[in-house]
Amino acid sequence: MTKPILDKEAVENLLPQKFPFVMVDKMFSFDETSLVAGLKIKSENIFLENGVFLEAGLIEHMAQSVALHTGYVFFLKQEKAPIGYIGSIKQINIKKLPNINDEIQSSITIIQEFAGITLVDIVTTLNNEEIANGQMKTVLAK
Amino acid sequence: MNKQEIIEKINGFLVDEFEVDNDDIEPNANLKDTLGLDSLDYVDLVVSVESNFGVKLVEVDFVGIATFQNFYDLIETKLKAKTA
Repeated sequence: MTKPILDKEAVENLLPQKFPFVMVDKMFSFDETSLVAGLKIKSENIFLENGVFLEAGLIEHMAQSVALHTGYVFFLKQEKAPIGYIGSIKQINIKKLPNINDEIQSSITIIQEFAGITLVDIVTTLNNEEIANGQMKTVLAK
Repeated sequence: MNKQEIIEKINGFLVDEFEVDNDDIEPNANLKDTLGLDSLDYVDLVVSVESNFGVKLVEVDFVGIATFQNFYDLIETKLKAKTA
């Protein structure tokens, strides 16, 4: 597996969410319009049920991967990142749910940014198998 | 592309993307109200324009855009600027 460029502690400093609600613990790559983030699903994860990582957790992981992109952009500008929200979920397809101790990755690609609203394409994989994809609109608080 | 072709192309993607009846699209009708646009929908409009015409709209472009005619004129102006 590719070595992350940001570890758990660095990622948590870039996200507004705090334990136990942080659903991203690695950043593997970043550029102006894309990012790859990861999460190891540990036993204490609040979205686990009978050892299965629930849909809500998967969607939160996808959204926080987008938030990490925003957080890192503002970090590079040496500015405080604004709070972001999921504005809408345009479409989400979940093909498979991961289990405890699995490591998932989400690749986000920014399709468009307009008036503080970002339309993002997201693909989540487990061991290089696509398990979810979708599009979200995120909104930055003004 | 002449003005009529621009209008037909715009109306075509608006009907598809925003599920509006083609008969409701009239030059003097209000763009926002007719399409039922909220603040989140504008990004879809911007994506549609970029994919159909290859021009990127920014926030300031929407200042003064009230009717479909205003919007057609905006796209025509953007296309002329692109090819100039």
